[in-house]
Amino acid sequence: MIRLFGAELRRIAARRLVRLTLVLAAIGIAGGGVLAYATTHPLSESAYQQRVRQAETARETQRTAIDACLRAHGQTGGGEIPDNVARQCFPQKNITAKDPRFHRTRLKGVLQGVSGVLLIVGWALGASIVGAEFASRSMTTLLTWETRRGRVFVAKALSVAVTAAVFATVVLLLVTAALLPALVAHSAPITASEPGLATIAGVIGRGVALATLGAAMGFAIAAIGRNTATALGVGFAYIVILENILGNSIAGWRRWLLLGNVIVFVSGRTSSDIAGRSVTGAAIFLTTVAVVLLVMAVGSFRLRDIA
Amino acid sequence: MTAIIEVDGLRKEYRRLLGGRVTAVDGLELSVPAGGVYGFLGPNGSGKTTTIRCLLGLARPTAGRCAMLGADSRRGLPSVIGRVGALVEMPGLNPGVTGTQALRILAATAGIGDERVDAVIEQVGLTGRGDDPAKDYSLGMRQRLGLAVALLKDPEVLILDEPANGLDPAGIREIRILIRRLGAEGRTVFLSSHLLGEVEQVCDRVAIVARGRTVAAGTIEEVLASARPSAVWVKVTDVAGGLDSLHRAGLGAASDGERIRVEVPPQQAEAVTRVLVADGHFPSELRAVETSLEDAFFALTGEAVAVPA
Repeated sequence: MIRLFGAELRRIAARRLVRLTLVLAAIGIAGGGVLAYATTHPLSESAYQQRVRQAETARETQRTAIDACLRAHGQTGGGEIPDNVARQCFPQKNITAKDPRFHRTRLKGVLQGVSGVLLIVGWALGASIVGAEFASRSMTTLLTWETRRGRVFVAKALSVAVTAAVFATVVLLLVTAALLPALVAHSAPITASEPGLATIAGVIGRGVALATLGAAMGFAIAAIGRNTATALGVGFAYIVILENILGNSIAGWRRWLLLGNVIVFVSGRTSSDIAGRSVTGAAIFLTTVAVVLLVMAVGSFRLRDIA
Repeated sequence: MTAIIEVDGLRKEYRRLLGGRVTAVDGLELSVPAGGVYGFLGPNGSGKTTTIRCLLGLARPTAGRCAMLGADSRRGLPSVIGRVGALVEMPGLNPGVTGTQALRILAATAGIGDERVDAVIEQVGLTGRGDDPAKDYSLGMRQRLGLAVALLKDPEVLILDEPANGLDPAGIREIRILIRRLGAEGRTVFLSSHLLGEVEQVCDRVAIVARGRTVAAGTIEEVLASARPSAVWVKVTDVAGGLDSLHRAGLGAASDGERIRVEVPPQQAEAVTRVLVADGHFPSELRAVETSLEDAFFALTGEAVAVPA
């Protein structure tokens, strides 16, 4: 079993798709790091507080000007303001104190966004790895070497899960590393509302888990359909079309849909949009879906003839 | 004689997508003895590949039993598969890997070292091309790589499904020599083919299948004998006169212009001579009608030869 698992890892590592995905991810991460550094700047807390005070003063001046403008147009009673008056009196831009520093909240947001992407990449990777084996008939060749299909399936599923987990870990750590220069050089003081290291680690952990579950789901559906396109097509049709319609039609069902659970799981907190679903509940739901799909896939793999 | 491969009443049906069933193998019987090269001959669609797939556990028989090295293909295959090398149709290999990588990955599943991979690459004539991407291989090179996959385990039993597919004449000859050598080494080579020449030149024994059934099996000589027509060729100076004499004697006979074919068993050739001599036709030649494996194949399988207009 260990030999089989090792061979499967070698098979995956030899695939060009995996190497290409890694290269693209590395390019994207490096670009993101440069962009984060280039679009943020260092600023002392006193300088920032001065900006806040300046903004507050500017807003006060703006409010006075608005009041004067409204009075000039005879709008003093607090009633409904006509559109032409509103256009003349209300400014187009809100005055805020611009904070050019890189906050930990932003790092957390980026990592959560990347986790969503990793789910899709994991799904596609899992589907492609097994789909290509059926398409190229290398599955047939392998089964003339190891006839115990249950073992073959477990080795393949495990290797896909491990690959997705390692890939997600590497990507999320590289993203963190790429954003570190901006976080260190352009940092803001850590306040109580900023996420701590444990929170960041939690986001990374959940991202890795999500990519692994996505890979398992993609793998299972492609193993049942025996090609990559099935898994990608089913994923698109179900999540983008069916779940969208169901989720928007019946709010109470959102906690039973993949997307709602993914949102709760990635964000790490409950959402009023997805009532009745805790983070642990979302983790259990997503894991159950993946396990059910894998059980169906192994059953199909063991029973059906191999071309 | 110990049977290395046994197929007993094998039946395999496939469900059609829109209902109904197709019978690919219909009560096939087979017994392959140990050692030598055993030909599994049949026209396209006769059930050869399906039988091999059932033997290797890739397809489940609808009825009947397959066994290799004494192990039932449904349950006992894992205990013997390490002693069996197989090439089923065109070898399936991972996209994007080189020939050597593909072999090394497979070898890793059985704990086979890289030295064996290199040796097998040389054995099948892929030296110098092993590091090329397998997707760039020609049909013949892929077939050689498939043979390398089958040989990698240094197996006692080799199951080769159309190994000469896509090979050029020189390649076919090389593979033929290799298969013969493997059989001579004491291995059992089960060679499925629709190429009569290949089977005739390489095999010690043969089974002919048609429409999912075994129609003949045994040594090449036994199979030829089973299909040999019960007739003799006779040459006389006056072909028309001789033919007339034979018809009058109540013997079935026909002429090809130069000779007369008389439908009697070769053991009764004396009766033919007597009839002809009685009428003054002295045979200059009299011999049994010979048959080739090709004739036997067409006679046994009922295959028609399409002659271009």
